Amino acid sequence: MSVATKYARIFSLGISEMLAWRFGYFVMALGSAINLLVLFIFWTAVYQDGNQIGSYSLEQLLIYYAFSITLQILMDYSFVWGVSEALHQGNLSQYLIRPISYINFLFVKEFGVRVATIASFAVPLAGVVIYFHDRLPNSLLAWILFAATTVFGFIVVSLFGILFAMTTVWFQNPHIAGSLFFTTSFLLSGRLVPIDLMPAWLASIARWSPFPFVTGMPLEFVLGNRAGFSIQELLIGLVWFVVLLFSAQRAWKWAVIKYEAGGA
Amino acid sequence: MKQAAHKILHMWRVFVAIFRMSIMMHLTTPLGGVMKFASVFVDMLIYVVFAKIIFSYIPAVGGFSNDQLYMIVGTSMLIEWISWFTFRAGTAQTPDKIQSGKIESVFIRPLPAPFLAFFTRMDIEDVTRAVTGLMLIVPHAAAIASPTALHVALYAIALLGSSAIYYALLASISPLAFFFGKLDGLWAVVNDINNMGRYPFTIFTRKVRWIFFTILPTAFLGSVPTLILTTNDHWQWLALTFAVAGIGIWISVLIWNWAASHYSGASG
Repeated sequence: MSVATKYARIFSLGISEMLAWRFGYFVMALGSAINLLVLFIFWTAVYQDGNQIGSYSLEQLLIYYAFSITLQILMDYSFVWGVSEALHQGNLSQYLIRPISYINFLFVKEFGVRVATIASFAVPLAGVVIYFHDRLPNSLLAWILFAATTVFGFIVVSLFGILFAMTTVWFQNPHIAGSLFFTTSFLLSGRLVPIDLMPAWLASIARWSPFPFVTGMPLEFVLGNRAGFSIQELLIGLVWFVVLLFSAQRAWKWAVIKYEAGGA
Repeated sequence: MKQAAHKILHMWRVFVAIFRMSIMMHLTTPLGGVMKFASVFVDMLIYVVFAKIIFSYIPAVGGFSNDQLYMIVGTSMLIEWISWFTFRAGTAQTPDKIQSGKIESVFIRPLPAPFLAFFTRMDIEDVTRAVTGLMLIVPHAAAIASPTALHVALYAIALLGSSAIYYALLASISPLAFFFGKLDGLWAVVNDINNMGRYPFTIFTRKVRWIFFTILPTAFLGSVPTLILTTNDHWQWLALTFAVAGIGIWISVLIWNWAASHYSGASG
């Protein structure tokens, strides 16, 4: 079996896994739509009462949060629990004897899961795109940059996820480090509020972290508030990528050694 | 009557035993415990930052003043804390127990099965939610008008009623795992529902509002207790809270009994 075929099968495995529980899948799609609807109602009410949030128009905020939910679905970290549980329960052994990298296996399978999940939000998202089509960027470059930043964000999230999942070996609890990471990411990524609305000190911390690549930066392309990247932003992204890749690989190796010692 | 009192006392003892075990579990990994507290603290910081940023631009929305908006967020944090301290972890774990067959142990014990299924773990670290919630509520309640002792007492009672409503909602959803197995998607919806409690119910149209007072009673998870604390219509809101809580719990018991009667083993 070629490498491409192998990973294509793992990718489809991720999709199948997601669709196995159809009721849950349907409810998840419904929940995302309800979440979006409530946000729309809330922000419409805020602007109807004569309020304005920063320099954002109502349409911009609605687009921001609609796409933010999309990215939230795509960048979901729940696979960390699966890895942590595998480490905690001792289910990792089966992966150690297979002729495939566990990290690569996870990454590709998770990508399949995310693609299937994003499809559940396709209808509400299509509604938003059709309704606000004249407010969205016309340039192909903006969408390419949006997609590229999103993919990079996904890589960042996955590397962080793997790194934190490995801490299970030391903390003896699969949920501790992951929870702390989720909440920090939520705060600094711009998922909560656009980064330029944050207090200066918090925005400054966010800009030096890799988290804006996960939500804030891609959405700035969608809103037309960004044309490209500064050298500083590219450098920050590159440094974080190298550090995370190195750390995730080291943590994996250490975790395997520790895991084996624990099982002896 | 005596038998009922004996059963309640028995349930209370079980509850206290779970509380002790939860504390001991935290003490077994002190570093883990510290990190759990840190995680909840950052989680709360998120909502405070959100509230501070957004509400700094909003003097009022849907008839609720800026101070009341902060209090709604604080109130929802307090209810979250009560839920995590009592039933939330248990209701979330029940679907897995149903799938694996571990749920069977609750059917053979001399206490109500929903109680044994849902009150299994207390997340001590979530006290951080209560502290943060109070830090939001107290200054803003004082800014509106110093609430009387009666307001505060009724508010505390309302929090219990609202928590009972939240329990009824989760306890009605959780047994669906007897039919559908995994409920992951549904828990995401439950979180979304809970988040809706952070918006004033008056921003919704009358028809939608009706839903938020009955089928998905999110109005009671933030707005209604805030109104009890800040207005003089407290008695009617309190009566409504407990009426909905009573009906909700009754329905949740019916759903549990009906769903559990269809259980025929982990593979069935």
